[in-house]
This record gives sequence, C-alpha cells and structure tokens, in this order.
Amino acid sequence: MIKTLRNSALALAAAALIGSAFAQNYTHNPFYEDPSSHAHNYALRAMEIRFDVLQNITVDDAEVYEEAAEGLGDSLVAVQGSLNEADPEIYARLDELFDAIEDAVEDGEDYGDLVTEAAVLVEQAHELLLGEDFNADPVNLGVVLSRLMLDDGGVAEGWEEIFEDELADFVIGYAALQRSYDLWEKLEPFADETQAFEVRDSLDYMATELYASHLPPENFHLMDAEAGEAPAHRVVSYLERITDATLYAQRDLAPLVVHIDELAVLACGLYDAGDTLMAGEVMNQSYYFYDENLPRMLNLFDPDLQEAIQDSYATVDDQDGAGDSCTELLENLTAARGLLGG
Amino acid sequence: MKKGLKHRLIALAAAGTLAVSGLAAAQEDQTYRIYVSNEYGAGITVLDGETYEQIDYIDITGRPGEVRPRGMGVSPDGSTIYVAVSDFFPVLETPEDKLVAIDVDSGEVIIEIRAGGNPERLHVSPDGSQVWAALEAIAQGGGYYTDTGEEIATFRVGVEAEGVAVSPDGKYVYVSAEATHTTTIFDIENLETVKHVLVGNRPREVRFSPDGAFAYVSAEIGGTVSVIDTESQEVVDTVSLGLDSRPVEMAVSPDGDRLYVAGGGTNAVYVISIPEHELITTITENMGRRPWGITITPDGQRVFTANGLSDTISVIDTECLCVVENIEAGRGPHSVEVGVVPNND
Repeated sequence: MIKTLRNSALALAAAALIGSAFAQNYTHNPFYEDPSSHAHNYALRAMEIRFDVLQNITVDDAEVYEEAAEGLGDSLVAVQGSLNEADPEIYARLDELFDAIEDAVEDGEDYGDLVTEAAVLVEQAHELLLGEDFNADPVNLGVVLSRLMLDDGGVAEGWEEIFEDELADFVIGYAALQRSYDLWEKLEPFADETQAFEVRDSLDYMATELYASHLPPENFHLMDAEAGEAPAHRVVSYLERITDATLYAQRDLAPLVVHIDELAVLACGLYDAGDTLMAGEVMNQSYYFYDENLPRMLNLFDPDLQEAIQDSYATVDDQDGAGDSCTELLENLTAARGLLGG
Repeated sequence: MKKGLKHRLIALAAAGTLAVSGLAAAQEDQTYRIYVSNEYGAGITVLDGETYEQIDYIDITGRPGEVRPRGMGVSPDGSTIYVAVSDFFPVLETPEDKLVAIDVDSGEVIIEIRAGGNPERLHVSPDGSQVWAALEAIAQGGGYYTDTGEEIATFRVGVEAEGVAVSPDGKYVYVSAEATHTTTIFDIENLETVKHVLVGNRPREVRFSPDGAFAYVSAEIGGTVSVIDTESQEVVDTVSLGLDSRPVEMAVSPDGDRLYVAGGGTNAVYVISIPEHELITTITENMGRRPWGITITPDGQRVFTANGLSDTISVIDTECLCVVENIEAGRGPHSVEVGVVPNND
C-alpha cells in the first residue's frame, strides 16, 4: 500500500511553501543572527547540568554517570574553536579534564576534584566567550531556556526517553528542569502576569507530575510518554512573546536549510584554511540545526538524500574536512535547498 | 463498557442524512447532542445540545490515567459515536489501540476495530460506511469499514500522524503529520498514495470545506492555516494567525463561510473568513484554558471548544463571536463533536 514518492514530490514540496516563508516574524531572530554565541551559551549550560548530575545526584546506575561524562566532550565541540582562540590553556585543560572525568567514571574512581576544577574553568570560559551580561538579556535567556525545554538532552525528551529505559536521559532532564527554574527567575520580570502564570504553571506541572524526583515516578509506564511535550512547547510559545524573539528556528524550513548550508560552507572554508577546531565548531552548529529539524521530513520525501547528508556530516567529521568530504556534503545540502525552496 | 443513555423524548426531523462534522445543510428542527472525550477521565461526557445538561457519561475501559479516548466522530444518523482509544504509552502496538464504535442509546460497544499504533484522531466518511484514523506511533493512516471493522487499507504518512479527514465526496483521505510538516493525500478508490504535501510547521488537523474545493491544515508552530486546493492538490494560500496563535483543531461552518480554529496554547479561538482566507477576529474573553477540540452545531449558531486545562466546554455564539457559557466536562477534554439525536421511531 505504501507508495514511494521521490523526485515528483520534490517540486511539489517546494511549491507548498508558497506564501508561508517569513510571512510573520518576531523582532529578534537569534538562531540566525548570532548562532555562535547561542551555541556557546547552551553548550556551557549543558556542561553545568552534567556537573550537577555527576556531583549532586545519586542513582544506582553507573550508566547515568557514564552518559553524563560522555556528554561533556560533545558539548566542548560547540565551543572548541572559540575557546581555543580566546584562551588555549583553558581549552586544553578542559579537554584533558573531560577525558579524565570520563575515565574516572568508567573505572569507578573518585572524580569530585576533577569536576570541581572543570566547573571553575567553564565559568571562566563563559566570561571569556560571552561576558558577564550575556544572560541578563531576555532574548539570550529565552534561547537557552527554549533549548533546555525541547532539545535532545532537555526536559521534554528526557521524560520521553524513560519509556525507552534511558534513565540517564531522564536524570539529565531532571537536572535541566532545575536549571530551567534558575533561568526563568531571571526572565520572569520581563513577563506580564498572564505570561508569568502560564510559564510557571507549565514548569510546575513538569516538576510535580513528571520530575518530582530525579528518579521516574513508580507508575511512569502508565503515564503519557509525550506528557512533557505540551507543557514544554507551551513554555517556548510564551517565551517567544516575552522576548519578542523567534525561538523555533525551524518555523520556516526554507530559510533554515539556507542557514544550515551557509554554516556548512563557512565550516568547510575553515577546514580549507587549516583551522580544524573552529571548523569543527561551526560544522557542529550546522549539524545541530539539521539533525534537530530535517531528517524525518527529508526521509519522507527523499530517504536517499537524507542518508547521504547524514553520511556526509559523519565523513567530514571523521576526516576533518579532508578530501571530497566537504564537497559531497555541500552538494547534498544544495539538493536539500532545492527541495525546500531555500 | 457502559451504562445506557438516559433516553430523552426529542422530536426529530428525518434523520440519517446529515454528516456530523461539517454538516452540509443545517436543519433547525433537528436537535443534537454534544460528545466530549475526556483524555484523563477515560470517558465520554454526553450533553444535551439545547440545555447543555449532562445526560450521560460513557466510561471507556474504566481505566482513567491508563487508557485514553481522544479523537471522535459521529455517524451521519447520530446513532453511533466512534472513539480513538489508546494506551498512554505510545509503543508500536498495544491491546488498547483501537477504534471503538458505541451505540449512543444503549451505550453498548457495537464493534471494536484494532488500529495499532496509537490512533489519535479519526474521521467518519460522509456516507458513514468507513472510518479513517491517524495512527500516530507508526506513521500510518488506516481505513476500516464501519459495519465489519475490516481494514480497507493502511498507508505510510509523515511522522507523528495527527489529523485526518475524508473529502466530502468520499474519494480522498488527508492525513497530517506534525514531525514532518506534511499532509499525505490518499486515493480511497484506487487505494494509493497520491502525494505528501509540505504545509505549515507542526500541522495538527485537516478539515475540508463543505464543497470539497479546499482542505485546511492548521500548523501549531507555524501559526498558520495552509489552504490546499483539492483539484491541484497544492497549497495555494496560507492564512497567518499570528506566531503565538498555536492553532490545533478546526471546525468549518455548515454554510462554508467561516473556519473556526482552536488556539490550544493561547486560550483563544480564531475565526477565519473562508472566501477571503482572512482572519476576522480572535475570541479570547471568557475562553477556557487550552481549547483543543472544536466543533460547530448543524445550524451553525454555536461553536464548542474542549478545554483541556480547565475541564470545561466553552460555548461560542457565532453571531456575537463571543463566549456565552462555559460548561463543566470531565477530566482533560480533548475533542468535542456534535451529533444529531438518532431517530428511534
């Protein structure tokens, strides 16, 4: 009964975008205007969340700590070029520390001092890359809070993942929710009464019904796996109004795929110039926007293209942009632009 | 499953010809009932269409918090309600994934149709012979005969299928999918997929104009309603409701002049003029919280919304375009449908 739809669907899909692109907008468009700063801010916040898990949460499952530790290195990629440029010693030491934490967790050794030292360096990195006032700006707070709500490794996804027996994601989601409250306290003065009520109500729902503890509710398997999705989206929707900023980067797919492509082009240029760390950082931004938003849609219209793009990103990463890897990725992204009208 | 409905003696006009959602022609002498699916209460609240008094409550499995009813449809003669039932845990298949047909007078289950994959919404064909469902967890649409429960077809759609609607001529079924931003068009006669159409971001529901010329697809993140020309099967217009509008379910007025759109995340109902495809007004005053489901009476005079966070139904007068009453419903209202009172003569 399933009929595979390929090329014929492509032009139609592009046509479908008529009249939808950027028909309406908030004043600020942070994911497009300053992707680097927001990537840095989120990555550094994600590191702090993982420190919370490693230092302050007790669970009888080593995998939770292993995954928390592994994620530190992934987050470091998002700042590696900029941090190395700003202070190579801090970058190098953080790189060492994250490896050491991962090893210590794996070997069951004490890692408390390592985490404490890393946390201090992350704070310094934040000051170097973003400055003290970055998180006084409501738009910047809105971006990081929205990502904590909806991204992989965030609150809504953490709840859903427990249904796949991924306790680590749940615990990280729990820690992310605690951090979300901290961020919301800074943002709340910018909200009117209704907005404040709705955001607080949604956060409280998640904190009491889903994440009452760092361990899942006893009867969670009888609950809705997507119960975090609606309140998380509700929060982001109100954050958009509070900050007058577009916090759904994917709202219009045509400009999004252009953005993804442009970041990849920039990264490939950096690879060509031999700045591998910065290239990897920028390519990581491109992949983030791609991976969060496009694979499932592309897989419906053109599964081969989707697979080719995924493979291309992996090859570029493996080969540090060498050989034809960048060329292939950019060709595939150009095809995606054609598909989405970008 | 259930208690019998308390019978009410209500004068009826000739029954059996009206489609329930998007009725082609309103008949003022017909009375109707309002059915509300309660996601957390695991039951259907039945309200009198004139007094809004609760006349029955139909339990669905008796396991609130474990099994939930969501999308509904009513047979054209009003005798049967169809309810999409699923487990809260959206794995690929669970024994609770089914479409349940309930006799509205006896409250008895007439037939249970296995519909694996977390059915979310359903739509009864205009002649009442088929019911089509969006199977959320397995990214499929599924069609079934209402008399036997036999499967007509299943077909691939986008990821996280949400909305479903059968065209007024019964020839096509459209299924929207939120994660792929698509609406899939399926040819019922030839049992083949025609195409996937890219619509607004995070599409929630599909509705046809009474004449079948257009299909409307709400997009929650897009804040839009995409207008698909059913002849060309392409998006020909996009109505912007505001980025913060969060549109979900929709109801088309019987005369085809207006589209009422529930703003699930904003406690609002948006009213669109269909001929112009323009937003006329936004109703917010006295609206319940998180209006999700929405429907309209056969005469087009009242619109009802199912308010998930306030456990109420808001009643909108379509002349003043204002909320005139809020009625208590069960826990977590998801969808609301209107059905003519069946003729039992």
